Amino acid sequence: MTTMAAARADASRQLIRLVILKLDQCGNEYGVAPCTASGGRCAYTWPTCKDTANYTQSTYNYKFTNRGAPSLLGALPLLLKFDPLGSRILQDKFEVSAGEWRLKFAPDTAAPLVCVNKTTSEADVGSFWPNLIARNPNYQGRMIKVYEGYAGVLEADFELMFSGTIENITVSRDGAEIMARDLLYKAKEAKLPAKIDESNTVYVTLAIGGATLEVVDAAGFLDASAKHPRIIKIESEYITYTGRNTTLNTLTGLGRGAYGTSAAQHVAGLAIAQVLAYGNAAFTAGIAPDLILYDLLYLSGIGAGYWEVADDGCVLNEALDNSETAFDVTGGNYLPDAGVIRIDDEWCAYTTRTDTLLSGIVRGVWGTTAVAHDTAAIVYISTCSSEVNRWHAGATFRRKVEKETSIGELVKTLAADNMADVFVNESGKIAFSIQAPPVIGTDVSALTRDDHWRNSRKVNFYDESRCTRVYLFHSAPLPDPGETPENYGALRVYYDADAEAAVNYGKAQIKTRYCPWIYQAAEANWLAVKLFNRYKKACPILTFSLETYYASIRLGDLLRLIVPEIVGETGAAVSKLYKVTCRDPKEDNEIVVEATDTGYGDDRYGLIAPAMGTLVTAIDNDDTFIYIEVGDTVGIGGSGRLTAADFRTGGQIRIGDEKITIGEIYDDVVWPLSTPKVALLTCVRGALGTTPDSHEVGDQVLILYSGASDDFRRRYAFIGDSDNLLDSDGDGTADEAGYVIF
Amino acid sequence: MGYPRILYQNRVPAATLTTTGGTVTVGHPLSLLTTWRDYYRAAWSGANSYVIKIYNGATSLSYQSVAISGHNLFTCGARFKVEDCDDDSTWVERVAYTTPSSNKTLALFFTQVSKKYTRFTIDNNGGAVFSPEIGVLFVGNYLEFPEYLTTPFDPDAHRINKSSAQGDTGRILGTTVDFRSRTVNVSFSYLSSTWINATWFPFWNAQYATPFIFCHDPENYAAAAYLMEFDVDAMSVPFINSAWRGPLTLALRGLYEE
Repeated sequence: MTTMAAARADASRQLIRLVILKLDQCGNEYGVAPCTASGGRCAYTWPTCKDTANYTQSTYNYKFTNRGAPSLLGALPLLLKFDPLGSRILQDKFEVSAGEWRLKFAPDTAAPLVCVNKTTSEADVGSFWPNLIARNPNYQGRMIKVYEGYAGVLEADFELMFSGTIENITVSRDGAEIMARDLLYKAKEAKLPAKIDESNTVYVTLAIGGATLEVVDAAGFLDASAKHPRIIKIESEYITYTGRNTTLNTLTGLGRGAYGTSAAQHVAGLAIAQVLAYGNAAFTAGIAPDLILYDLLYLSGIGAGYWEVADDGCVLNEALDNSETAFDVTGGNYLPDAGVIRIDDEWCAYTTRTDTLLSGIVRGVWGTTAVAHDTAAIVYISTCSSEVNRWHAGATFRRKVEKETSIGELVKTLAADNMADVFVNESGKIAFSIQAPPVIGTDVSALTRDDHWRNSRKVNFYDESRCTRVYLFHSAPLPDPGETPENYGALRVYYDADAEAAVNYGKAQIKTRYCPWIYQAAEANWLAVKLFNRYKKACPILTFSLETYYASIRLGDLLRLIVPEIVGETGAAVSKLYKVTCRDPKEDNEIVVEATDTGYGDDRYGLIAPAMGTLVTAIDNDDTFIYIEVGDTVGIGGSGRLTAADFRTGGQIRIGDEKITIGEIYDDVVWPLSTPKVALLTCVRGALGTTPDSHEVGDQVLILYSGASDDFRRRYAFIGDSDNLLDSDGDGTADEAGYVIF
Repeated sequence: MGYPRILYQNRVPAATLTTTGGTVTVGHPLSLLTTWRDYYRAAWSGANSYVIKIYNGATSLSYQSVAISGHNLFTCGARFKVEDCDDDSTWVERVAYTTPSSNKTLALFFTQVSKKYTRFTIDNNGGAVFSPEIGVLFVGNYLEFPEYLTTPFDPDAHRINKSSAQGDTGRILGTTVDFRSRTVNVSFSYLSSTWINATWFPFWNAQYATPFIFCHDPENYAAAAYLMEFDVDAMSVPFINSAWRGPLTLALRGLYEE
């Protein structure tokens, strides 16, 4: 046996494509309790069941491989070809087309038994595909997975390359064709809020303080098991309810005047609408985007098992039972101040955290089950939480939705308001990636022309993506603002006068964004500045083919490429960073990759920081006491200067080329009338592979890392443009010189 | 040089199959042995010895060969023997323990006998627990052509379905092999009209759409046995004169087992 990596690295290898259809099958045995069926002709599916009262829903994996693949136990070698149309991220439009795959299968005579995995099953006759469809007419929406492997690799080590749902199956004498779509298509089809029938009105007048609402038919409203938030609107009042009584036709546990509305009397006969709202109870503040995103995905039926997570370095520091609500952890500082985490398969929400403790925990959220966990279990966070924590921690959003809207549209606008791409990756998981440069430590693959399939490369310079002017509408006062400027309360405009001058680009290329989720200036400023900087230049799209050796390159990955089609003024090819925005594996050996220029060149940086401080006293190469004059040279976030709170034990500073790990931290109080100072004690010199050195009075001190606190991130990475200018006074204009910190 | 043989009249599909030893893997029952499809595999686990018993019914049936295909006995380090009888008790060894030297199709021949029961015993000579898989189990007769194959004859001719490419700068990129397909062209210059009428056409009419195991020279190339099917949509064997017909040309195809 060998590994996937070793097989790919071989000059020659035999490819195996494994397709798994997860179709319905009863978990019982025919005629064995609890099944009471008799009379035969049971294919263990609901439409063929002779005892539906005892039908137990389960699944059976129908496995297929490509012709000639080495035998995998239980797999039929009927896969002839597939035509994948992978998810395509159009970054400048914040659009992601759902992946659509068509797989063609050869015909076959019937299997020897109707159900080979059942003890009691009739012998089968006829043809495989017609039989399969006849017995499994409810195939639509069932899961399909496509794996890639090689001869000599264990089936368990095969890599998932597509995961989606079956949309349609066509059967002919030539076999069958299955059309499948990825999970985001499911979100596009699902709509919220659910409609209430027009005749289902207020039945008895609801008093201003009433806690129970009598309606015409309570069955028309959501019960307690529904995923949809139970919020209704009568006239202008939002009302939450906790339950329904279909005998008395009442909605119970009313929360009156919800989401910033006022409680009022509602007379009999008034219409009732189901609505959707994200924000705090008073609607005075928003909530974190990860909570919104995953709630929407959950409501669309895309379960928590399909959300991509990140390991940002936090682990459990104790074993947990299934009810504990405070977790001892190591690396809590890598997590957002509040949010959601996943341990094993369980998702939990927490409200507060320190470096070593997560507390205020709600176990088993989003349909998962609270279970025990071992110490040292990885505390994952969603990619959305991770990315937001990295690039605009503390950002919050809010929105009310009254018109029936596709969940896909809600997700798309939320992603756009975070300048993020939301897509289904090759692992079949929903991933969230903010359009940003790679951070320190990001592994960026470099490809050369040697690696490109001959004559496969083309460049679309895609001038349409360029923008000289950004109009960003936000803070909509009413629900469902759509794309009507008048429906928004505020507008951010950025423009590049130089670019629009007649001697330069000569016209205004306008990027207009309607941001229904943004309600605060801070998020609007962040988005407008980032958007403007990202698209001041067009982002060419490079298409090329690779061979299967490069199958580990995945959608959303960053690549460093030098191609002869993109050169600098001297004619020399330039190295640029691209993001993989589409990846289509072809039938045999070819992978067609579309990569979009990120505009970030070769720079790799994590944070942009202002000038920070200087050494008050010279230090030699083994001094552990460092005395820093912080002055009043910085003002990001309005504090006026650095304080001890800006440093963190275990974090790092840089002086010259040396990096130093911080020990104890003290605000200086000795000279209150002089320039403020911070004292760092018990520092570890020569950190992160650098060499301890002596440093002089006045040498600059930069904070490299100071934990993952929202405050730090807001202050040093919240707004920075490509010239490393910072928005020091919060007016939305980046105008103070900063440092790129490596 | 020996006469080529085609194994057919498999007794297994119509027989009653039972097994002892270990556990039959869920989803891989004995009935999968009846399909002539090597990807429908019967599988067992949990023991170091397994027996497959084939009961032909009240009437004894003749057979002169056994074969297996789509198996993993070599990988398992297993061996097998074949015994038969008429009373489900007095077993007579027909094929002594044989250890496959690969997972390829394997055919064995012996003097024709007529029996009600045949059983395969698979073990690994007292070794550890193992999990055998068998796709095709053959117990039956063979058609032996009365003439030698017309030469030149190539039993190893095959097509390679693969994909490879050159890099943008001319480098040879990796090659991905889909599969290798064996295509064997068999030709007989002449065959007696009597044999054609009495043997060939009954065989052909029963067999033209069914897979079989082909051995081009069991005498000198005993290991050369291939699970194949006829790759034709027409068949002709013209008269040369009233006593002889030919040529009979057949195209056979199957997977090139590796």
